[in-house]
Amino acid sequence: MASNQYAAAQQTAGALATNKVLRNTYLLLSMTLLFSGVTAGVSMAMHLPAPGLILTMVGYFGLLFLTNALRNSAWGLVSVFALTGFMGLTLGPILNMYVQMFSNGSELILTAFGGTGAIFLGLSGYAVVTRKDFSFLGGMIFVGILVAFLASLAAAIFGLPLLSLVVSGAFILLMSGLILWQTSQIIHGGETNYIMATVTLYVALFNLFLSLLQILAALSGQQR
Amino acid sequence: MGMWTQVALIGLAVAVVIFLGPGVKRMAEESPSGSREDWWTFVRIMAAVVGFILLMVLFLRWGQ
Repeated sequence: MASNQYAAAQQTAGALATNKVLRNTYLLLSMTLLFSGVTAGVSMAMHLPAPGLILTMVGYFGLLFLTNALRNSAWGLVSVFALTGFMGLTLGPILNMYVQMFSNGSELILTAFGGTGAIFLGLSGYAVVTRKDFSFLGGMIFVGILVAFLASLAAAIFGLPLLSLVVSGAFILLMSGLILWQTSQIIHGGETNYIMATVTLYVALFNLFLSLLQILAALSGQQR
Repeated sequence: MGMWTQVALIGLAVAVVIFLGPGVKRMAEESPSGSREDWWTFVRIMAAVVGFILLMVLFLRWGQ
């Protein structure tokens, strides 16, 4: 009897800890999305130039490694906002380019934005409601991301627009899988650090948005 | 794209493979293998995502 009560208490404590990680992750994710939205807006309004591929990559990876190193301290929060703010800044010139290049640029951006939100809510909601374990996706997703990243670099180096479009399509599926995997990891106790969970979901949303925007522009964009 | 940018990007690709490659390989090896039903669930979800994107494309084209 006592052992049953102990097991039930342990189960409740585990569920409470999981709910806390999930709540903190969604809270931090919404705050970082708002913050990067503001920095992207400022970058667009000031017509800041694109920082260039090298500076962008150094900034992304540098801040990503910094956040990973500081994930267990309060400085990790500062680092997350620095990373997401920087990513927002780099987004501004890209969005300006779409607005200038396509007569329906604003419509494309809004549709990609809404679509990203709907896909995220749908996938994350599915993982939370069904509590299905998607840990089996981990290997495939991370190998896929590495291959897709290398392919995107090859597309940039050799100037291959069709490969770039194929990579965008692959990224949409990989980022969708990443959202399912990360949410499932939080629910099943595989991820207990809400800072790292937030970074993963943020990066997934960022890439999903950009890939979706590129696909929508290629299929329904009206060039000026 | 300038030559030095291309060289830097190739260097970045090599660095990513060297630094992240082993971790990704380990993760792939340690990742549990899903059942046939698990993978079918995943395929159905991805099909829904693709269907949703096609709907967005149709919506954008219909509005033109």
